[in-house]
Amino acid sequence: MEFMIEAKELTFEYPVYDENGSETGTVRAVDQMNILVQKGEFVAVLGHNGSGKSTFARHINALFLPTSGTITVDGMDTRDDTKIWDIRKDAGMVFQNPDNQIIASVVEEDVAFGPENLGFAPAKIRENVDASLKSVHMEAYREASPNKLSGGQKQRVAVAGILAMEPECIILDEPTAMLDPSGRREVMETIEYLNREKKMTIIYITHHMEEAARADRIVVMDHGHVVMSGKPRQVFTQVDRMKELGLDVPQATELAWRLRKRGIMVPQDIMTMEEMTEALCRLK
Amino acid sequence: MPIEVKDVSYLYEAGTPFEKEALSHVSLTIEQGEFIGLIGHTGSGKSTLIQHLNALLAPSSGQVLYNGQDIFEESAKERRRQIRQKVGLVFQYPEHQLFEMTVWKDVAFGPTNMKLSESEIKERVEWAMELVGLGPEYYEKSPFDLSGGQKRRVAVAGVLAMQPEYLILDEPAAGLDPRGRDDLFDRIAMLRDKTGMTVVLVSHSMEDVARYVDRILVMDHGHLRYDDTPGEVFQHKEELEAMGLAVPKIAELGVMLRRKGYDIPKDIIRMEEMEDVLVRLFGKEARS
Repeated sequence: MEFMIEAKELTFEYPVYDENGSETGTVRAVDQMNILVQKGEFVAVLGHNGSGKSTFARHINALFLPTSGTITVDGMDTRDDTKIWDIRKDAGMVFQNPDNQIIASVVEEDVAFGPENLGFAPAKIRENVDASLKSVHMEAYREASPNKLSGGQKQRVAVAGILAMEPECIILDEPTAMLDPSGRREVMETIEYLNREKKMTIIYITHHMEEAARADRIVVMDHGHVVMSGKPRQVFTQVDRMKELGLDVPQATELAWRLRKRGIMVPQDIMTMEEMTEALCRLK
Repeated sequence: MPIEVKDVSYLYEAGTPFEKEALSHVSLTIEQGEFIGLIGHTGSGKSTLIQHLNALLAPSSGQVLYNGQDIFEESAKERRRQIRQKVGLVFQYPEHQLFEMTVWKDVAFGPTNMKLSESEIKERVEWAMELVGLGPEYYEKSPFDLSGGQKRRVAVAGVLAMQPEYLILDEPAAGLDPRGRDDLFDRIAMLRDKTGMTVVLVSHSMEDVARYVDRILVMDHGHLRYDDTPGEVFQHKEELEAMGLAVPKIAELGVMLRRKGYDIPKDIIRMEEMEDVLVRLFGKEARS
């Protein structure tokens, strides 16, 4: 079995300073975390603010290096200086705020930024830029100015910029937090397409439970390590545990949980309103 | 004191080839004590509209009246200064605007600028901190040592300390985890019950809007498309989706169950309400 990401006892600490700039201690943001992600897997990462999700994500493309333990990306150890550019090419990140990630004044130039820096041949850059924009359904906006785009469109351009570098894996850190409902839908559909059709490995950090429900697997983090891992249905069925962890479940799952408490025994593992409708119709 | 927006249009870059109408003949009245949700796609004019409510932007045409008086009259400079204190605006990611060494100083910044007495400032800071649920143990902390949710509450406290009549929050829960989001909204709902403050909540979460507000304003390409109760607005599923919006999941369930012939009232959009309706329809008593 080949793993895209393998973290072993991954630990990350950073120092805290007082007003005078002297070190007063350390915070352990990731604490002996173990995780295996298979190639082609779509993994949603959940956890409350401060649970270590983003710190973990920044280890995948070597923005952070472990204090102790190891993390390998496509077999490459992130502590190996000679591999750092291969790792960053292989594992691209998309962040929350689209406006902080777009640098050029024309969409296709922005998408070309990554492959240009990697030293791809001009013909190859042209080919990758076109193919990437097509993958995120933004080819019609090739020559548009990014500041005229909606939030969802900007995030798709950011995704295209990653794709143009031919990565194996995309890490998205709350990419829909600032988007309107249609923007969220566009980004989710793009991610699912890249996973299903292009077989890309996806690490998707989110606070939206409905989005997480669409992943192959959910990993829940708390206190810097993995506390739950399983198919969305298995994880979301544990409604009480999720609430204890400061999280939520999809609306349909929550409703099933409430109805069951009141004697209406719909299955607890319902995740969508379509499933809820069917389950209720079966009751009668 | 009501705020009236009368036939307001706003043009960005007026007179240039880039001229864009961000607001188009918008009229509405906000009464004291209302809890209003403002929804709309990116670029629909929501932010432009709220910036008119506290005089940060002046309309290209039309009027904004506070207590019946035009706040954009030439001579109304003093009125505009007052309205900026009466209408507290919490921007997106307000924690990025924290800058003082301690939480106390940050929350006291507004009242200090209002040239209030020391004792009045103290009273207001304590009051605001209590409303957002941060006790005295936070007063001397650096805002930068707090969690994301706590920082945001400090930022909200900073606006509350000016004791505005209106509180406008632009995406206050963006980036907060579910518990942080619930805590913040519960606090805001409580604060509104306690103080009678008018709250305008700008949000992309249809669930949050459905859960808390009494009235929804829907903006679309600079036009005010709907101004009604959540139960009414969320009956327009197709129209809202065409505007880049959505209805709450609970409302979607209502649509699906009605198609199957079940009698679910169209204005059921909240979790608790749906739960009660389903217990009536599918509970033991209904089935026996």
